[in-house]
Amino acid sequence: MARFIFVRLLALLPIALGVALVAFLLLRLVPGDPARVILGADAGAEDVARVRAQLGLDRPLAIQFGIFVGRAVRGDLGYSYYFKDRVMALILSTLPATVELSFVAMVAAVAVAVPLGVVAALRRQTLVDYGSMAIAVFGVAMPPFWLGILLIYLFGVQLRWLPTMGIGGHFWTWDGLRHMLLPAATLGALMLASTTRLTRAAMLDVLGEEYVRTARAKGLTARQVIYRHALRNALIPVVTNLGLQMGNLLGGAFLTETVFAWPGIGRLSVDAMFRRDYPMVQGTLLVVTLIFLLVNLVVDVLYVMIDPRITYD
Amino acid sequence: MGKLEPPAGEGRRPGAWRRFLRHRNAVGGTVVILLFGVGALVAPLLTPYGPIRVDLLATSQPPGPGHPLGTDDLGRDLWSRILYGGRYALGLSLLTALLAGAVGTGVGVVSGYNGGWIDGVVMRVVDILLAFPTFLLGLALMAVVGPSVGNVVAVLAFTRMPRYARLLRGSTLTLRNAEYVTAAQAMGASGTRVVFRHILPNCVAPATVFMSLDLGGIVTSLAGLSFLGVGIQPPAPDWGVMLTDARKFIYTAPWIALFPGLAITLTVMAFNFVGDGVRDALDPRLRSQM
Repeated sequence: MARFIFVRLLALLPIALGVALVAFLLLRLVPGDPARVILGADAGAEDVARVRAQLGLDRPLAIQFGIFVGRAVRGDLGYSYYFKDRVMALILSTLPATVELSFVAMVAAVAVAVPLGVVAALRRQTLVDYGSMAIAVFGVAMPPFWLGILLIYLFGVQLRWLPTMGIGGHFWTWDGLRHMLLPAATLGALMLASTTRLTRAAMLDVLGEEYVRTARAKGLTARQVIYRHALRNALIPVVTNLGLQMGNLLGGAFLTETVFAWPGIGRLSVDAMFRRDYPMVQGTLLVVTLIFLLVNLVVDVLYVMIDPRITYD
Repeated sequence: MGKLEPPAGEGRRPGAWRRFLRHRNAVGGTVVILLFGVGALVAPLLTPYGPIRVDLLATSQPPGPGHPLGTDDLGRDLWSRILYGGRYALGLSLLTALLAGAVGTGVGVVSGYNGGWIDGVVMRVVDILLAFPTFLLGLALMAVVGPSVGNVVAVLAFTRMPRYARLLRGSTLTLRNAEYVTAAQAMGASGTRVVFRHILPNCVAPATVFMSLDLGGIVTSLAGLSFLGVGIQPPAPDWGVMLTDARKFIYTAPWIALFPGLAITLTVMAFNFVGDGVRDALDPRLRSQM
């Protein structure tokens, strides 16, 4: 297993380098000269030349990229134009809020979706089944920023049960949890929907398999058949889907954080876009994408653990 | 290519229409899309108000006679804005899907048919682009190139294109080794001829299926970019734009937030149903892959 993880990490390196190249080139797409963007339109030619030299913009592109990667590896993603602070420091200070929100959203979505999908599959064409399908269809179609606004209206404005803005501390504290509920529900909805649908479909597939019939025939209890034989196999596509949905979850986090004024990396990045703080945009894209790649690696490892038929050599 | 006879069993799907029409959700979805589409096209006939006509004497009116869906904080008629907004949501999304599908198919077919180092390079680039969370790449690109309608379509198509390239490369690899392709090559057909006569026609079905499944996601992404302020710009009556400020008025005029979101949700749902229908009608085997 350690070897498998090592090999996968190694295979990730060229992709990570490519991701860094795209992020590097992103800043070159900005219309105009970065030095001029920093200094403003009325800066003298001398000042512009000096800043260009400071930023290394007068050197060949390949060398600039080499320097960029060298620094990034050491955790140096340059300076924010707006905050005049290190991009990495700002990312690290906002990242925990995003990780916490995404983690709670994902765990809650899976914790609801898997049992719901299983029950729906076991009780086809009952109210539970139709309800779960409605959740699946709506949850996939609703844009998170709208769902968030609806939840704010219902629980914040009408019922006045929950706060609608900001963060209240860690999610295991009472205030933290209260602040977390609406954003996590908003962010988790898409994953809840797709996971419910997939769990139901996978359970239906698996329940028709011969080994399930065999398990039943040899007199195992329904509980044993469902949990040990059916669910374990049904979970394989579900886990794959979790990996695929991770990208949507991160994209959704950017939107959710904007709606709920959640002080995470998504809001940092979106704010940076309006301030034309390009190093910040570049840094957040790079860091979030690398996290995305690592999370997908973790999903692959989980996959191997659930399904012993998959070999990791 | 109009009267081209594809080899039996490939490309032509007899009864596709019938299968599609039997798919009740897909038909329902089609009806919803048509309603929004026709509404967007003949909007001037359905509403007396222009979509950006400000009326400071009728701000934040609740739904009622005169303004069936109410007005927003500037007195703009929401019914008009929803109708005209369909032009962005449907028009630009279809354009994006076609662009992503056409470019992605081209890239995938060229890569898969040529193989060798071209394929190697193209697929590495595709792998790298797929490593990004799609929406975030689009967001960052929009922030850099600046908001304009053309840029939104180009960026959205660019971020979604790699998936088409990978899928169509797979189809091309299968087709390249099919016997009738080998036969055509043996008879001296040029690479261009083989690609245009034998490969591309057979890529139409998978590309169409993928485009129709992709449309819902495109609508959401477009609205999301506009909502965050880097897509379509105010005062355009885009549904995402309409939601940007709606949060501020949630205490006083919640209907401003209700209708644009409902329009997005209905459209995405309709496209998802149509996508399922198109997939089942054209190529049921794709079900497991998508």
